[in-house]
Amino acid sequence: MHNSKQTLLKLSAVAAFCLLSPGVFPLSAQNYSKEDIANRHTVAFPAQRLQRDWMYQDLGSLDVKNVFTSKETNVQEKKLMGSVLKDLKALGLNAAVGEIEKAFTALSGTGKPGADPAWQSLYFQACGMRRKERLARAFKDQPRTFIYAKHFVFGDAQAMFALADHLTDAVFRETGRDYRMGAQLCKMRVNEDGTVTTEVILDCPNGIVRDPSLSYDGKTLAFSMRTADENHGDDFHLYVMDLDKKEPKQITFGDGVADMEPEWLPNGDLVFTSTRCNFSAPCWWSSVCNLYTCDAQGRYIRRLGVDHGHTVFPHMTHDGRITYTRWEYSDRTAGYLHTLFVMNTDGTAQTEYYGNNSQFPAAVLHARAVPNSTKMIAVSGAHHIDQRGKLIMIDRTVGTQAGVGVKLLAPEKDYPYLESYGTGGAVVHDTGGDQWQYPYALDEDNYVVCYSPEGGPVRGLKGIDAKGKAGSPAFGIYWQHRHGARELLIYDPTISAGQQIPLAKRPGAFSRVPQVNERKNTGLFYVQNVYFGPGLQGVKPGTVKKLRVVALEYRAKGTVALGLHPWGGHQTAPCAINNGSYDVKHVLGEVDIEADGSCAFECPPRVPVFFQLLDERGRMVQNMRSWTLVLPGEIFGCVGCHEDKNSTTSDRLYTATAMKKAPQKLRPPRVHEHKPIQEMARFQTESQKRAMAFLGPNAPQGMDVPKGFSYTREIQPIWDAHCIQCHAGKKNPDKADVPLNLLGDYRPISNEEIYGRTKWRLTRRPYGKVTQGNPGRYFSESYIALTDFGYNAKMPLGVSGGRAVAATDKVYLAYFGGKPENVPNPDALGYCADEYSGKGVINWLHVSSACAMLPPYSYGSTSSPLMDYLEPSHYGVQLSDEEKRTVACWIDLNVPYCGSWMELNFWDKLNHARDSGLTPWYVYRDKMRQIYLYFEAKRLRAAEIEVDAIAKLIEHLDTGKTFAPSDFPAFDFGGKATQAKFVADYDNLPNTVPLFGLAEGRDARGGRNVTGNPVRNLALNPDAYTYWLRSYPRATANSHFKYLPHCSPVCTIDGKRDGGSWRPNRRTDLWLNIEFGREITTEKAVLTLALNPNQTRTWTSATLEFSNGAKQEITLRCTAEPQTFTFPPQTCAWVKLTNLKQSFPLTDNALAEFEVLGIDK
Amino acid sequence: MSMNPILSVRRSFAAPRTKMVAHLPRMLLALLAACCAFTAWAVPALSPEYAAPSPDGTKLYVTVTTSDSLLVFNTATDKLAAEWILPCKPSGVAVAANGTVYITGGGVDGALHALSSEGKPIGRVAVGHTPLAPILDESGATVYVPNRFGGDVVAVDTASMTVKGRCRAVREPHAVALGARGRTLFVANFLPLARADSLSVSAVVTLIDTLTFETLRNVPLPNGSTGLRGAAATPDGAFIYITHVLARHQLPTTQLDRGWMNTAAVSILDGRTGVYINTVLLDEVDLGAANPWGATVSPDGKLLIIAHAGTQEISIIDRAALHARLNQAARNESVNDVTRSSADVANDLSFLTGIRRRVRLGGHGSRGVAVAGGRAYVPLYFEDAVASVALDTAGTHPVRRIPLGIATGQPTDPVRRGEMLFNDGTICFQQWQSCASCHPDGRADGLNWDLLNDGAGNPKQSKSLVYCHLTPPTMITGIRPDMQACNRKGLTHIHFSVRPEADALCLDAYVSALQPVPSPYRVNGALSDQAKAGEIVFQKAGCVMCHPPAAKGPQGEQLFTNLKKYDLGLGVGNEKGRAFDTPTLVESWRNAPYLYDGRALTIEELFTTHNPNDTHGSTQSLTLEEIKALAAFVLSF
Repeated sequence: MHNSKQTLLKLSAVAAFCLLSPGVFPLSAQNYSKEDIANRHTVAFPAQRLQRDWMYQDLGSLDVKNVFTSKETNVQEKKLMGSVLKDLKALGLNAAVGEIEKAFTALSGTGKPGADPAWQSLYFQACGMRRKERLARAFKDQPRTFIYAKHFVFGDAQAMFALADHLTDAVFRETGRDYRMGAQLCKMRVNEDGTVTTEVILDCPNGIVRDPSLSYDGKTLAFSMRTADENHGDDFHLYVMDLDKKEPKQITFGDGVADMEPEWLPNGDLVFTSTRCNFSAPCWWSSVCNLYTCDAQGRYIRRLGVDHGHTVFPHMTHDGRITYTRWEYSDRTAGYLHTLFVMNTDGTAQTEYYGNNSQFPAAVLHARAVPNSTKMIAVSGAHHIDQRGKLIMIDRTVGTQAGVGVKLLAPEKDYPYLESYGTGGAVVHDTGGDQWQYPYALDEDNYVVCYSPEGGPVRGLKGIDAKGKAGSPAFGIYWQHRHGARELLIYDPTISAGQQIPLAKRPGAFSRVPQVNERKNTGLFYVQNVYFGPGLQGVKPGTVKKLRVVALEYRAKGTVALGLHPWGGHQTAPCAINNGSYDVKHVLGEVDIEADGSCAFECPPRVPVFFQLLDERGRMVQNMRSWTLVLPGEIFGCVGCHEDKNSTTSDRLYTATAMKKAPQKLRPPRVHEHKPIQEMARFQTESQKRAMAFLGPNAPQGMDVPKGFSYTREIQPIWDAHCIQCHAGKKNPDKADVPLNLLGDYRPISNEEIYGRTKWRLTRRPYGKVTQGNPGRYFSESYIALTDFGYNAKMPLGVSGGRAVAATDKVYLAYFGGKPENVPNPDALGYCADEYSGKGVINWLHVSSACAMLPPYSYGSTSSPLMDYLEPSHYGVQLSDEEKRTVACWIDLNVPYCGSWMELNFWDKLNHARDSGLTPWYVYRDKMRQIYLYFEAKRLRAAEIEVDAIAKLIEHLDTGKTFAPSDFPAFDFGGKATQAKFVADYDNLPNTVPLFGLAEGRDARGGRNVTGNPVRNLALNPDAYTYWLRSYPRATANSHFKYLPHCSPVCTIDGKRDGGSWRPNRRTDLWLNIEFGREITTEKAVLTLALNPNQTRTWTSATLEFSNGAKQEITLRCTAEPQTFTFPPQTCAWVKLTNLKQSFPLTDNALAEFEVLGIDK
Repeated sequence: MSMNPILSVRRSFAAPRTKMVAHLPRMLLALLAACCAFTAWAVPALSPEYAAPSPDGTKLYVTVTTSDSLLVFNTATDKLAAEWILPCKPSGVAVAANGTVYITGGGVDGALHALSSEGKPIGRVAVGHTPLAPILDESGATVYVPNRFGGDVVAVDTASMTVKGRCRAVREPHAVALGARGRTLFVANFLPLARADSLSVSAVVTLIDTLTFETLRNVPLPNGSTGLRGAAATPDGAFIYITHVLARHQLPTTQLDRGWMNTAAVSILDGRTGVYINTVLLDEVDLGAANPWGATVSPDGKLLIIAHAGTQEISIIDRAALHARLNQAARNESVNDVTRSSADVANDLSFLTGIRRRVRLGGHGSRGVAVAGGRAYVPLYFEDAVASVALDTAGTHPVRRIPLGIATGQPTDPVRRGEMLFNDGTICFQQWQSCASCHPDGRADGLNWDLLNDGAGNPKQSKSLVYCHLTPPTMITGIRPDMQACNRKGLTHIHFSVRPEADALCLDAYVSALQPVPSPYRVNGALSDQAKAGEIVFQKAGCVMCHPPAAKGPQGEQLFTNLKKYDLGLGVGNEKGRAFDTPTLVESWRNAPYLYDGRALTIEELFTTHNPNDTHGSTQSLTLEEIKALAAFVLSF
């Protein structure tokens, strides 16, 4: 006994460890003392947290509640001692081990139970020695001082990192349950004796500070901060701080935009993430981040990428590139594609770094290069959780897909890759058990990580909140070895600590020469041989004739609460039926593929594009299912379609034909009779026009003529010309039995139709109920008939998609009387395991299809039976080649309906007004329009500023002129007040819009427009616009043939009976509405029809409907002479021509002029 | 090929010196260097280049190129044992089983020297123009020597020290290795000999029957193979390894990532049958291993060791695992995500993952490599040191650096520092290439490249840099005003690298110091009779107008160009109508093929097939004899 005491005393002196005060047991996970909370700014961690962590490690379990508490046994305590002794031996501390073993033997001999304080003392002293040795080894020749940040855990709720940037003008509360103010930048030092000291270097009690990045010279810290909560006017912006002076200096500005995650570039500039792009998360309302760059003073802000989901966590590799995580929605499942990407510092050569054709790791987060290595350390996380997951090491030299080359760390083991079946919806990956964030590798074996041994719930509070309520344990900072040994370095019980980076001068990364030439307005793509690689495996060389270049137009904001979403597609504003195209698509053009499979072509820069390979009939052989872009002057190439990243170009390929020619220019695939006229352009400033050109397909379209691929414009006229006389459903009584109604008539979808399919698994989605029987979306008869409510989307089975196995899924089986033998595809896997999948007349790809590359001809026009019906063998139909190619294109683009985000994208008021979490006024259709226009206007303003910054950059490069930070306008069109004003202005629009012919200078609404108010044509407005509603009277209609200007409804009020005329598609539900902008009184209308030279039939009757509710039937004659109709005087604000009737066959009819004779009220 | 001054005036032939004696001058020089640290004086360099062990592995012989000597190491102590002064710049060393040391050297008057194990000269035989890299057969009866610029390989009978066989190689034979039972000699031809606008352009391995000493056949390596530097055989001769650059000249030079310009490769041939087996890449996806040079197989046959001259490292490859993978590929079994058949191997950057270790040597100029006593020895050409790497099984491979008398470190002399940078792949993005990858020894690589200085879609030959400082503008299109501009664009647009101006100045100095090698077409330094006849044709055909022999540089360098650009109607495709710079004719003998896109394999073809309209001199009316004479003249400078 005496000896044992002596040994312990001696050991205390040897250990010289200051944190060995006995703990209070049993331990309660989040039960910290007041002192612990109070000292959290100056003490690295509460002693009990360290003690707990040691016990976790030595017990190999989180269940430590019985340690040091037993009054009977010492089994647990012996186990702890055994473990720590083993480690001490492995560390070679033989002398000390001998002493401790002696004391252990002595203590064991006494038979003292675990509750005896001697066990604690001995164990903690041994742990202290182990800690000192571990840290001494790990930090030998390594930096010991680190900057770190304390803040809530980013992410949460929908789509991991989407919610960290809650903007002041958000329409949805983009914050998770852990979101809170209060954050700090801190400094810690791992001392030689194993202790850690810490100090706060920047306190941000009422805001959030995050993302520290240290310049290569170790002197200047860049970080992101918001200094107020989201309701009080600040968004995240970039700051720099000289570490000697410690005065933060804000370098980026602007309400309503968030600038985050700065990372220093080798040349002293910064790359950062920003919401300046004004894109919306594809399935939600959150603003997403793209990568931007600026100099250290925040000058010359310009974008590097143009990406749909977030592109985040930019990090410099040693070889001078930027790795980042890119979240993809690209007609593939979005749940897995949070791929690690890489680009040069100038934004060129944006390409996959790891795993863009495989499911796992589902989300590669917080990736960093390992010093003196080509490996990357990262966190493997999931889609729908906060930013955390398992610690992984990526070694690209082993593989670049499907977990090959990925090792789980601490302890190291192979990544358990499994091609599994999950949507990414509620499914999480790598989120069970202990969890990591923000790894920093000292070398390939030793890391400083942000870690939680307990893991935690998927969502919710971490740490203790202001009222003392404890959530799951916060993340702390640890040293950790590849094999799992760890020591706690920093722990704040109230909030997570992480984002640690060494405070030291670093060797500069490779400084790569920029290749971007901002003076140019094109970039160049080339492919060496499309037949090379797995993409066209088995396709005979010579098959591919053309390459189609398609640009993606990204949504500015989700526009409804929850939309047409059994599953897949945009639940918050689809541009297609469910499971159809994610995005509005713009076909930029086609180029020829040479006989040897090569191709080189110019492409507009900063436009996200993807490619489709077409055969001689214009049908798709293979699709890219991702996107790429070039920057100005960039030349970007690929070998084939699409070779492994671990292969170089093939020695068997020769210098390609296309490489010996001038690059091709994109050829529009079809001859536009008239280019769409954007009425908006008439009202734009020169600066705005430059910004529109800069944005290309992502330029705002507002209420204007859609520029993307529009079903109504491209496809319906084909059905009208060739099909509808037979395929008109009951509208043509003579052919009522002919299936497949191809009329372009308005077609709302009922809840029953979309959710009530017995074979559809997601029938009982709660939001299905609140729609009160109507999802609120309409398409057209033909679109619905052809797509079968989206059920025809083909999801290749067995490689992706849902998680059910049809034969064993009880819920699914219930639809078949519980009998597997009734299931049409009993072996099928996935949500879409129903017989509709891929069995319709159109065989397009389900947007949540597999991550993996699909074989050629997997889907699309080539395998769509519809294409056969377009041949003369089908009742002698005679489609032109151009028309057939257009239909094929539509299918291969994944059946988009809208050619802009606003085209017919109207929703009714019932759409989830309740329980949606949206700002209440936002849920209604008209407000939706306004708010969408607001975000588009934001996008345009941001682009104007960017164009200006690029112009200044060119001037600087050309002339050496320097610009002060104040020369660059801050972003000035965002934030709550601006948003409110924009909406209010829109609400008040009629008061500010001129009335055509206004004579008295009075307010338009209610004013008279001619002195004396004689009887006259009150509908006359030669300066009317169709879409950009700027003046009254105005004419709108529900159909407009190909959006051609000379077929516009405004032609009916231009005062010219012989000019253009309103020409709608051949529909049976047409209307044309004349709004006066004030109340008028009328008793006479004159309609002048426009007839084709040999036209003998036209509409036979119609109804005039007045805003006062009155209706007047009229009979129309087939004549080009004006037809006058009189009726009892009506006081009204608008007159609508509806119920335009004609018996089948329908002809192309048109109305040249609609005159409404009367006086102002 | 170094441009550096000879170390000293020591001329005594192979006089062995004691260690102290050997070190004395160097110590003095070190003092001198220390005193003059701030002057422009630099310590003359030694340039250790190749090494070979003694039969028992206790000694290592290292050629030191610029001090005309051979260093003898004690491998047990890693200490210098002696220095033997040689009468020539050594270019290669081999050691016979009986201890006799064979040295090649001497340039245009190249010879093979035999020395006793004590360093005494015991024989000399003239072998040809620039012999190098000698090897011995198993019995020690024959030494095989490639004559790089002589273009042939000789077999020397060691007993009589006479040439007993001579066989033409294809082009600049640079290294040789013996197959199984010594029956076949494998000759690595340095450069391709083909029209550069051919679909496939590659250097070949010439197989010579050692009995008849006649060519068996030429084995082409993959498209883009050039710069064949090293050759090694397994101890049983069953496999032959040839190191080379595998250029991806099919693509425009827009990116280096994934080896889209140059990759580093080792080609493997069956030492019994001579059959080409495959080509394995030495680079990794994010880290190139530029300019593989020397290769050797460990005496136990387990390891293949390759020196990377561009990246200051060696690759240590597990041979058994390598061949297991090659066999898998040959059976169309999947080796990894890239290799599923033999055809994939040459493009697989992950083929060696897990079976090869890259060991950083901490010094520039790792060219030759030899194994002795369980260690790999790598002379560091630019550092005057030898790296000694433990071939331990633990795979940690600790490296010892052995300074050669004085640790001069990296050169400060601008020319030599420029030469180092010119050969340095570590200044390039991801270490994919050095200047020397496309300009080996400052010359051309025989390939067309689509550089972007004149737009994409118009591949052109890499050019020799000899005299480019005297013949502005540069590039065949004359698109750069001078050599200096070219060097800087090379750094920024080929290496994608931001480098200090000091580096560019050193590159300027090195390129300006390049001197032409005497033409093998000359007879005892003078024009041959045929060439003399050709000189007259040169006048008659009007060649002199643009290639005036009278055009001289400041040191009297004969330039053969009027420095002007002409459109001779030779541009095709995108280059139609483009004017091209008149190139110098110096070293034409070395720079085939000809014209901007390398469409003329020979000078004769250039004057006949490729000058249909007599725009490029009046050559259509010349007789065949005159054409030949003209070619002989042109090739004599």
